[in-house]
Amino acid sequence: MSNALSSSSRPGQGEDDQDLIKRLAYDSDRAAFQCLFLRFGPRVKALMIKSGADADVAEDLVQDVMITVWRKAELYEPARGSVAAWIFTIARNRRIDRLRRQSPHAYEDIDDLDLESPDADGEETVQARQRKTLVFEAMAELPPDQQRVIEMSFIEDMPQADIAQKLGVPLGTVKSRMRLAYGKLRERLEDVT
Amino acid sequence: MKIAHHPDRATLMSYAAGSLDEAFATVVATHLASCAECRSRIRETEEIGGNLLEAIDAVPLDAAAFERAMRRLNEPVETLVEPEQRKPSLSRPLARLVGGGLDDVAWKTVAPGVAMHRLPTSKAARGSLRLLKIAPGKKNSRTRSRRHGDHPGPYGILPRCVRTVRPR
Ligand SMILES: [Zn+2]
Repeated sequence: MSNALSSSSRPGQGEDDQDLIKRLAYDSDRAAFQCLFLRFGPRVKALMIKSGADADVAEDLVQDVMITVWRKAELYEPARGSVAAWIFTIARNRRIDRLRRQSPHAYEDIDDLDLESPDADGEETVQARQRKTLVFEAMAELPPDQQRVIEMSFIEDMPQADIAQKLGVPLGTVKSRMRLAYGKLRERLEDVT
Repeated sequence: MKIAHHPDRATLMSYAAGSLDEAFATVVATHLASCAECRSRIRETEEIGGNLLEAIDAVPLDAAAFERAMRRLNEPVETLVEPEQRKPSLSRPLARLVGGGLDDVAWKTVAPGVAMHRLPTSKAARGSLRLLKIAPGKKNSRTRSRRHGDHPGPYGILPRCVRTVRPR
């Protein structure tokens, strides 16, 4: 697989996304919903197919994920992270439920907790927006073997043991690649904040 | 409550990716429920997912996909069910699994000072989840699994993920 991070990313779109979500949340703006649907729907479909869904199931999951985006738009907190990351987590939870047939409660319970935390001030919101770009930059600098392990986890939904098996490396190697990648990310974020 | 230790960094990554088995994810969530620091680490790590989602080669949707979604939006919305009232001393991921509260748990003594209760998981989960109650002053070396990063909960209650390998 080629390096997905070096090709077609557009980290600059975060602000537009937040604007669209706001219009959805406050005005139930259907044009804003259509923008988000056309932008993220095909990506969620690709994610589900890479996670092992066939095209029909992936299409159903896009419906579920995007309807959830519509219904939960007012719960979206910019301080928590980018819209793309938020939609990723919705897709992730649906994937656990539908493709893995396990319970996503372990995730949803923590989402609830975040909603109870006090509202972030403006400064934190800006930081949260910046965070996605910083993470993007940190990821782009990772060696290919670390990028591959991350893609297999986040996009292909593979447990660490399965990644080790597929790559033909010990489990410890997979873990250490993930730790190194995480370390790089923290380094980048701490430089700025 | 003092937090003994945070989950391994690789574990936090896999949690954010969503690739942990349900039992293990519940153990991590139990820690997250009481650790704001790890929660914010998770939010940062989820930005990886956001960036990868943007970078993915999009697959075109069915021509009628948006109309289909709009039809569903016009259907009556089932109201969000408020989570039932929980015992405040139990962290959320555990409270859900325990049900009524710790008083209602059917503990089974497995060793002097150590009681166990098996928690429900989905059929497809590969690991099982056990709740351990350790009497004060008992050594709990038996209950600490370094690999899986257990964390003490209130009342010395530890959720423990036991991985049993079952064929998929
Ligand atoms: Zn922690």
